[in-house]
Amino acid sequence: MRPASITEAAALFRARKLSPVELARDCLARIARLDPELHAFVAVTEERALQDARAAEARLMRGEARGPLDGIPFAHKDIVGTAGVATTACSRLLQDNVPQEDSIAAGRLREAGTVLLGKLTTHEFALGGPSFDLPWPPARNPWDTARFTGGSSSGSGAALAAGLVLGATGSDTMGSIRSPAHFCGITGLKPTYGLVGRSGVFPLAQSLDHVGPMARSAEDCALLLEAMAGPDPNDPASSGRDAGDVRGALRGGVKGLRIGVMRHFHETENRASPATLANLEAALGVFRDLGAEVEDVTLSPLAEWHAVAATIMIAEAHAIHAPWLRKRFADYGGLFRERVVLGAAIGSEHYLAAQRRRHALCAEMAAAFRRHDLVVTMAQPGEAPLIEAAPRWGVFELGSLASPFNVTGSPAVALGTGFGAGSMPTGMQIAGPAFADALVLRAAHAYQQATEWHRRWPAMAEG
Amino acid sequence: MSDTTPEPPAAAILRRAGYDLPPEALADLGHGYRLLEAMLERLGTVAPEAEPATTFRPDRAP
Repeated sequence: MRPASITEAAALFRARKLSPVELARDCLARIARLDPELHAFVAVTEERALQDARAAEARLMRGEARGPLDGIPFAHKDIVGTAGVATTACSRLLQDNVPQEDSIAAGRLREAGTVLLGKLTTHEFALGGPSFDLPWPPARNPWDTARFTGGSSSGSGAALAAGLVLGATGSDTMGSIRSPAHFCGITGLKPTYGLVGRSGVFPLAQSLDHVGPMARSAEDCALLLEAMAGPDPNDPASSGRDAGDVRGALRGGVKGLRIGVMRHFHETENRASPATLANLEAALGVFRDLGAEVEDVTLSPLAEWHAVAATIMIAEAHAIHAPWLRKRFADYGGLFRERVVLGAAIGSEHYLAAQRRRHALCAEMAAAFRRHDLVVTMAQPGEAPLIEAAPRWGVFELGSLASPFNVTGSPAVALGTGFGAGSMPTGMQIAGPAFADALVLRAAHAYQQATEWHRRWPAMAEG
Repeated sequence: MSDTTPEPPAAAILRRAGYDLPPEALADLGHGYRLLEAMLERLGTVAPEAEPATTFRPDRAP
């Protein structure tokens, strides 16, 4: 019996219709069958997985389950530190790095009872990809393996879409959770900045980095967020807050909510494909039918949000990597080193200008959230491109629909809205004010309760 | 590169920043540098007066 979500697996465990060991073995068999084509995993920790699964099964049999994540097959993006398990960031510079301690996110998910199946492919240091010049090939999209997964949490998106795991971590500095969620047809939440601690996760750009859950539904993301969130004494950006009862808050629906649609972003400034636009309109129709008020909202041009995010990201990433780049330039993959070395051309005046503009944009977004409970756009303007056609310089091309919510730190979830002309997933992005993570997931859950897109599997994952 | 060929802007900046990169690596960066320049121009300039990005409050410092 194959569960389609964490929620379903937990119900099957409780009903004694499935055991954590059976599910772990099934996932390991699927990884062995499908991953040679998908490259979602950097490393599979089979022995650890079976050990974790047996421990979870014993707790279940004793009636001492730790909660809904106990026994759930899980894997971490390979920038998320895992004790005793190599954490490479898919870079030659860290290929022998074996942390002694779990990152705070991995530790919390281990304590919740998740079963560690392994580490997942990432773009190098969560930025450079898809790369063909690294020891780890780029992950492939399970809906069509000739196509891009999005990134940088590329393995997380692929593994979830193919049913190799039921939950995964991702990180998001300029869309790296939400782009793979869109392209792979799964659900990914970038939580409010500071809600999930980042200690033990290799940074890309500290003032924009977020760690968050990726899963097959908003309800599953809620369960994972509850486990992952909380104070992190070693992360100076930690909000010190817990997530609260996120799953309980999902029941509220969207009736009476005011949803603002940022049409100028995806209809004009980075115009989406016809099918992606049509599917978003259909999704907005679902929200109206469920009782939400939907109206347009206009903010500063998308290019300004992107310019602020990319300037800060590349400047901060360059500050981290410059000592290694100067000495070991050729050891990095081409895409990472090309993008980040240009950070040397970002002067202090540019960085300050970006941070100053960021303050103004945050005030603008805060004003929008006084008029609207939530805002909607897309994380990507279309279906996944062919992997060889993924843009080399997209980070500087001013069209990132995900970047506004890294600038503001607002919670934002990406989820599927259907399929396009190329039979690949299309998606939308729902964002809310700071620490309204539960509200954002509540709207996504209401949509998924009314639709079936998130329950579909790619052909390669059937059976 | 001949002595009379001007150094590309990206190459000069990277050399001043301590990078000793081969010509083929620098050649690949030209397009990215032009995009970066256009992006930075969108940010405008920082006014010399006090502004939020450099505000520091000692009573709130850790």
